[in-house]
Amino acid sequence: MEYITGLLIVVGIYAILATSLDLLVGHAGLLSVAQAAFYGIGAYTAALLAVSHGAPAIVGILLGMVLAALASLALSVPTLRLHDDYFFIAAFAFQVIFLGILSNWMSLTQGPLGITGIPELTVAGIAISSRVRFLCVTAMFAAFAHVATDRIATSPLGRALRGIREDEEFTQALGKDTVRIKVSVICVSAALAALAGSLYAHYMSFIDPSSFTVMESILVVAMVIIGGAASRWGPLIGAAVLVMLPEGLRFLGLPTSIAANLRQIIYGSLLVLLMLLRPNGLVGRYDFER
Amino acid sequence: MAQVVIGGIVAGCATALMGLAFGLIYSVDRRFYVGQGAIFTLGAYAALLCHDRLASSLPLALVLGCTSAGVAGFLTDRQIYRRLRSRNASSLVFLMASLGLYIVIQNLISWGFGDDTRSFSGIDPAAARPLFGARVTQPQLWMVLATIAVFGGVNVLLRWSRYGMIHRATADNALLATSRGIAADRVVACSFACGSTIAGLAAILVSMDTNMTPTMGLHALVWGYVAMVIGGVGHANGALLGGLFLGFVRYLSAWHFGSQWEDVSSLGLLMLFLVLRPRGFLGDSGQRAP
Amino acid sequence: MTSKGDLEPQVRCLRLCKSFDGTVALSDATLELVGSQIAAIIGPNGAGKTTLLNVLTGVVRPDSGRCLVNGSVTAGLALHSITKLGAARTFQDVRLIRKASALDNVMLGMPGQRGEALLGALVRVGVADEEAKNRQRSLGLLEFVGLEQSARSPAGELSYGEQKLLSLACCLATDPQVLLLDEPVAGVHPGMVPHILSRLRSLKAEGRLVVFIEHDIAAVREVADLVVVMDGGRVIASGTPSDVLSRPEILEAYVT
Repeated sequence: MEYITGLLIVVGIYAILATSLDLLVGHAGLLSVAQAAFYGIGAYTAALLAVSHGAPAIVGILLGMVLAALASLALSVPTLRLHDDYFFIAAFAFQVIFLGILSNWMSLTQGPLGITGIPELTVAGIAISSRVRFLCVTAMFAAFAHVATDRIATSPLGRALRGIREDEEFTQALGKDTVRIKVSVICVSAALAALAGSLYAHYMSFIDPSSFTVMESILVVAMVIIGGAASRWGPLIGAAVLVMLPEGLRFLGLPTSIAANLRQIIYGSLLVLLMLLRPNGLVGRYDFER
Repeated sequence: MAQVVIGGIVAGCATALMGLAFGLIYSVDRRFYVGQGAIFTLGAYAALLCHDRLASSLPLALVLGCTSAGVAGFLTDRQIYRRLRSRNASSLVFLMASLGLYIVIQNLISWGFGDDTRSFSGIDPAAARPLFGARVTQPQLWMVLATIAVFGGVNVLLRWSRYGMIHRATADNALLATSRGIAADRVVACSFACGSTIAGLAAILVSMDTNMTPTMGLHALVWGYVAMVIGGVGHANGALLGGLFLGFVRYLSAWHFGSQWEDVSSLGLLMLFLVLRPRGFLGDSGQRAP
Repeated sequence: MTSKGDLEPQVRCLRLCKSFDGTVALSDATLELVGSQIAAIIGPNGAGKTTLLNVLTGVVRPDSGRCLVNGSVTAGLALHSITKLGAARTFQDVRLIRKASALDNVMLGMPGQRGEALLGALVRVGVADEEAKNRQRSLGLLEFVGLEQSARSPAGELSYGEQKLLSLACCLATDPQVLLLDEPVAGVHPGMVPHILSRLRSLKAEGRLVVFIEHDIAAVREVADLVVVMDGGRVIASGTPSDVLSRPEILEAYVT
């Protein structure tokens, strides 16, 4: 039972990540592989504030979200006026540079050693000491992320985002400052990813740079695509599928390294097959077609 | 001092080759094919297979490795990318399909050869010859010679062959070419074959000089793309200029700051160019087609 | 910066030059249009008509020369800023959000939407009212172009002529004083052309300046107050249709 609860918590955390990325990929049509960087900012901020300064968890979480949003400006503002392909590379660069900083700024992040002893989460005075309680908190945060993204998607802002996604120049011709809109949405996406990060930090009680690499970003991209972009439940379904898959493979008794390769081969193939046959994923509404 | 110059030149040659490999494709089809990073890696491991398992001599392994990479790259284009192209799929779809391909190929290599670093037996890493006050190994010499040969050959091909004419015409009108599709398909297929072969060559020579890992393709992708952007898209010799420049930057930053900062410095340089001089050294001014 | 209501609608292009990699698109092109009227820009392919439009709307940066829209210089401004100055445009290849309904397309063009800001989208104070008002206005615009029956249909399912009318409606959503239309009747079913032309006349009657590029000389003759002829990147003639279109050298430039 504990095992299942733990699995569901991981699904919940990835669901928040996938939801945050869907805002960019599904609604705005912007492919970003930097999500793990914002995830990392949230995790490290929460961890450092809790461990080194004994701050209450909520402060760490909120500050992580703010810092991630600000960091996203460093990525979006200089590059969004360039073509979208350049944004992809810039996001990649941002992710790699972030990882470099994380691994090498020993005095702040302890580099590859990571941060240990992250305390339990405490919400409004209640210690989240059991897994079930943590699952409830995760579910709450996941619901929050879902609602926030949904609000944006169904508002005039969502309409503007779809305009940007389908034909940015046309949307500009209608007087919309598309760069400003994209920048603001990337901020939200980064903040939500940071939220997932701080949950992760408190759940694992230990974090190190290896959880925040480019491959992690790509995993989240795969979740969004496989679940289905621009859909209500796609991110959750994608997260569930891609978290449960390796667990399922483990039951086949394969040695771990091969299982790891096999998992990636499966979701890599899924990505290719979906793009060829069904770009809108399992339940998505956006099929990336012009 | 001389060692730094030699080291920089060797690093520059590898980077330049990768920049050319990437740029040949990008100049006729402006899409970012992440999968080429895996084709790079595949070239090196194919050569390793030939040399270690099939007991081929080093030169033969080199030829077979390059050919394998060329064929593999050509096949990915014909079987996968061409289908997406005929559907006029958006660049997001291409990015994700090529990302999926990268993941599959890289993990297949990991599965087959393991994740540890491998190197070519039969090459003595310490056998260096003195040259202009520095020490140069055989693979390094081959690298420089190969670069001269390849760039010379490509220049001749582009300037005087029929294919070269069509390639340049398509490159000048890349936007028209991608929307027209049919004739451009042949040019793109050829450029995939050439570009992949050159990528394989670069990979094998780099592996002979140092070693290889299944994930080295991602880095190569970065060098290739950055070298191309810095040199100027659509100009083969730009890749040479950009590659040498970037090679020096990489070498110096590894030497001064440690190898973990190599990627960061490359990407930092890219960001600088994207923001200050997006057309690179040799690129044309004027609007980049959206 | 004067507000929109003060000046007459006007467009000025002064000595524009633009080359693309050696090909000259615009060479000392000068055009000044003031006041509400319907002006047509004609000329053979490659004359620079669309390039002029692109420079005017900030899509392309000129090598030299400048443009003014409603009195404000457009140098360095992006497309969306120029629309905000009061000059809206359509595109030669009809651009619309094909999967969205006609109504949604027009609503996209409504300016100053509170719901488009992050806070507005999340907190939604007064957004429902604003949306309702915009919906009314949008339906009104669809009625103006004659598409009110198709309000809920996806834009991609409309006929070519209907799509051109829809893009006109989207343009009008921004309440522009100046309309810059790239081939509003080209390729449209002949039965629909008079309807589109009548819409242009109504827009002129509302006090707007309508500038359009066209190849259909009959349509130009029918509706234009002023005809501007371009060739080789410059303006070679301008005057009333009866004046310009009877000149043999103009007709010849067209035929060849």
